[in-house]
Amino acid sequence: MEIEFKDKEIQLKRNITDLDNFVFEMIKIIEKHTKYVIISGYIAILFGRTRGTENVDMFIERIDFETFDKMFDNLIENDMWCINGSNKKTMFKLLEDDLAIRFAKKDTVIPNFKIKFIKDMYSKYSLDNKIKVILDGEELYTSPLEMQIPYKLELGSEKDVEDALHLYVLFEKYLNMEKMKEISKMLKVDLGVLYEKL
Amino acid sequence: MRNYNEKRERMKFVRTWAEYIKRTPNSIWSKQYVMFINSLMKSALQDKEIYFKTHKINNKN
Repeated sequence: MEIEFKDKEIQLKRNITDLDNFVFEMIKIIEKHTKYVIISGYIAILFGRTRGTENVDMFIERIDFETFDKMFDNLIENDMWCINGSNKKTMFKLLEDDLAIRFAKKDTVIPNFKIKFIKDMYSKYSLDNKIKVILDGEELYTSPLEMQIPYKLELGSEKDVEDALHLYVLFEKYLNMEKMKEISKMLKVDLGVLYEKL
Repeated sequence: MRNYNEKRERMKFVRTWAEYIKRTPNSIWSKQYVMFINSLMKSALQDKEIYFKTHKINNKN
């Protein structure tokens, strides 16, 4: 894998998947209206993990209804549909209640974007400290790996722990271990599984 | 539910794959990877009703 890692930017060279193209298409619309950060499973897949996913998780900065209204229309104009419903006020209320809304390409449900408002210190940390990933000339923002790895361990399913291990093995020499330990402590997760001899 | 040995085997595979892609040129590993990810996307079940049920989505259209 050809990766260049510097500060808050990762340049990655690899072939592009249909999932990547879907992600690029979505974020080009979203970023016109608000700040975003991609979290969770897609990050591991982005960096070469071979597994499927139904959705790409994203936090966005809280926006007012007027901005949401424009973003929603913009997504619809670009052949997306909102899986949860078409009433914009109801969809906005879901976000305000810290629930997710999902968008997919017209006539499909998978893959979809699962969008939530920033809601706590962890999601805010991810947005404020997001890293830029450049893949095939396209840019996207993801949660910092020092946050992402402990977060995956906290989720705790087999798939999540495997995602954490994949990212750890790949980026071991680039990670700020002090920062990752600090976040792990806050999330009350044990990093031991990453060092286990198999 | 996987037993302890199966889980260890999975974790070992994940580590082996990550180490393999670290040292292997893109032209080799990412070709296999793209075929795999794209085939998963193509075979995804696009049935809205089933999706709503399995994800407990109350579509508000």
